[in-house]
Amino acid sequence: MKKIKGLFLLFIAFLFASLLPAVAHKSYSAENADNESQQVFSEGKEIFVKAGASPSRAYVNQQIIYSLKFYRKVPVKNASLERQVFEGFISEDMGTDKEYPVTVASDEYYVYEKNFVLFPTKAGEFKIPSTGITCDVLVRDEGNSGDFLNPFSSNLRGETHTFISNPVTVEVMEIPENGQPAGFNNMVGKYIIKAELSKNRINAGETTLLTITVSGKGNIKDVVLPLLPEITGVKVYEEQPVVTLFNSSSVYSGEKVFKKTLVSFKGGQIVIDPVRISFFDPEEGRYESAETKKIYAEIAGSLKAETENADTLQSQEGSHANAVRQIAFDILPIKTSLNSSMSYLIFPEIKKLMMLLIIPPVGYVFLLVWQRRRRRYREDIRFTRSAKALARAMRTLKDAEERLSKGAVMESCEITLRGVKGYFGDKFCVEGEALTGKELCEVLSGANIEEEKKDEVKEIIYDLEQMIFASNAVSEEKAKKIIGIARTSINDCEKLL
Amino acid sequence: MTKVILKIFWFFFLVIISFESSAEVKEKPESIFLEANSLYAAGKYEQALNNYLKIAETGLKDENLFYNIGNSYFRLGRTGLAILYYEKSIILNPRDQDVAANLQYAKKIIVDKIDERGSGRLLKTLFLHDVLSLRELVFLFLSLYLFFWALLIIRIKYKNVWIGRTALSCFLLLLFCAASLGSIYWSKNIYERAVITDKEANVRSGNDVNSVTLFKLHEGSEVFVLDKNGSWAKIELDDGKKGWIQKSSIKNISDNL
Repeated sequence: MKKIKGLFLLFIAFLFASLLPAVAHKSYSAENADNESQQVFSEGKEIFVKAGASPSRAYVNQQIIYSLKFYRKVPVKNASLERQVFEGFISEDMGTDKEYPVTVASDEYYVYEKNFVLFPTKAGEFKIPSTGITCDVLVRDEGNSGDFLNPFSSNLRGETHTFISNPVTVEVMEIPENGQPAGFNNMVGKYIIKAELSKNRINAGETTLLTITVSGKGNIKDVVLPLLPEITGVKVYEEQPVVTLFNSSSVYSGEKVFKKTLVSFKGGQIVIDPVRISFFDPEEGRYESAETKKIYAEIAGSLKAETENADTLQSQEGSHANAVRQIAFDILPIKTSLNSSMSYLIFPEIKKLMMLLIIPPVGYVFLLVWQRRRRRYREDIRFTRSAKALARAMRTLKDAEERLSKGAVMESCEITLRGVKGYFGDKFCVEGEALTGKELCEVLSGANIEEEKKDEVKEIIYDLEQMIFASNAVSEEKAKKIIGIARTSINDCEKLL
Repeated sequence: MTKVILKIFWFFFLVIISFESSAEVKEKPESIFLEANSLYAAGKYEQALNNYLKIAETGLKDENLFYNIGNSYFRLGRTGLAILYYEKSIILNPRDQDVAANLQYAKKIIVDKIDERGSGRLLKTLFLHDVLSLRELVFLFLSLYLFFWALLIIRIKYKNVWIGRTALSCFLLLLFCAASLGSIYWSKNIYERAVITDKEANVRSGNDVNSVTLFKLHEGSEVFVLDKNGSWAKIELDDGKKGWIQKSSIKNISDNL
């Protein structure tokens, strides 16, 4: 009931705080804050802070729980804790913060409790200094009664105060040296240890997991296991230990789990001797020890190994030879030479090589086209003659020009006429050189050539025949001009035919 | 016709020779390798390693060199880097049993045990990832490719049924090789693998130091790199766990291969 009442009070306070339009800031120096808070909020008043350590007398490495309790019976907001310094201790926030209502001298308070675990690192008397909690205390604003009809108006305002805890003195004693067992690892507290194997019967070559768990009250994170005694026929692979904490507000406790993978490479029975840990029990004031039970496991020879053994025995009847057992593992030796076959060929070069992949298909297409063209040349006379007509005509005209340059005008004209007739004869697949001028004109009339071009050709033929048959019309200049016109005409006709 | 075909073959031969000869001008590393082997045999692993790394810096991609570097790192207690170089070596020659044995042994002694999901196993088996290296596949592909086109070119001149059938078989093999190459490239680009080389590395929920540490990884663990952002890399373990890790804590297996 009290708890519900307290929570209700806190809820109302935070509701008011959230509706508060502005918070008045009032800060204190450490000394002033101390004095003023002691005057205004001393014990039995509205707000105070109490610090305590349990136990206040401890051994080195023994856990001490340092508690900070923030009592209040008026609403506060924006509380923050100063960074606490624990000189001479290893400290850790236990993460067990809690809030609860409590009654002090018939007054009801709401308490926020924060705990730290401390592990003293050396002997002596240590004073844990005060720490401060700063927060906004919500107080009634006398000058502003607020608007009663407006549900969002408020007559509360925030005042910032710092509340200082009391210093705490802790006496730390050395761990007694009398009776200290060998291999003691400064473990202080109360611990138990247990071990188990995941599988107690395995085949040679298989693995089993050995789990050793140390649990108890004390600095569990610092627990160190002694080295596992060597187990014959087994290779041990360690894993990283895992710590799990089971903290409460008054005790720092947990467990640390060590896992070891055991790989057997030999048949038979293996024995894992007890693992012993020693610790100092501060409550009893004496050294204690805990140990695991002895663990046995059966390693059976693998099926393959058994078969091999049987084969070996059969082949060596009467002999007492033993099968070879692997007793250790190691990496294989280094290589004695480089494998240089393709070592230098790196991928950028391969990528360049890949770019050349286009060449074979292009070559194939080229060859295919070339082959087909060749076949057509061979099989289609009309096509062959037509395709070669121009080259042949040009050759003839060149020959005519050469003759002309040597002064053989008549011969040159004859060759030119033969060339022109031959060209059109090839193009239309007729015996061109045998055509008369008139016949050639008839052939041309059926061709897809402009009339102007036909007339030009007819004129060339006419001029050439005139020069050949009427010897008075022969002139070197005229012959040269006709050869030029014939060349141009043939070139023009080639584009059309 | 025959002359043209011969000219094409000569052209390819000369192209390949020019690639090989351009590579041969690089420094011959055999003597350094032998010296490193002697140092290794004498137990001077640090010096042997330096010599091996000197050869690697020349750009030589040799499975035996990477294997020896892995062995040197292993002897020096750097299991993570040893695993990295064994993995590099096995990429170059997946059939090397020595590398596989040493890699398996090195993986046994690392701290993290990660359950394998077996993803990509079928792909690897189907496309011969464990049988042929990428380089070998490329060369097989190129050889088949040239052979296939040579057969087609010969078939222009000589119409023979057997040439046609051989060309068809060659084409099918070529398709398989192309698929294998594609799958290797795909797995290389999609599943970039890396090894943890720091003793311990935090894997966080985000790519900043303030993010929550999801889990810790230790030297030698292999991860898949999913993404990179500044000095951080998003990784995934074989068991499906994901998180961000500092890039300096990992080394990519396929780097410089």
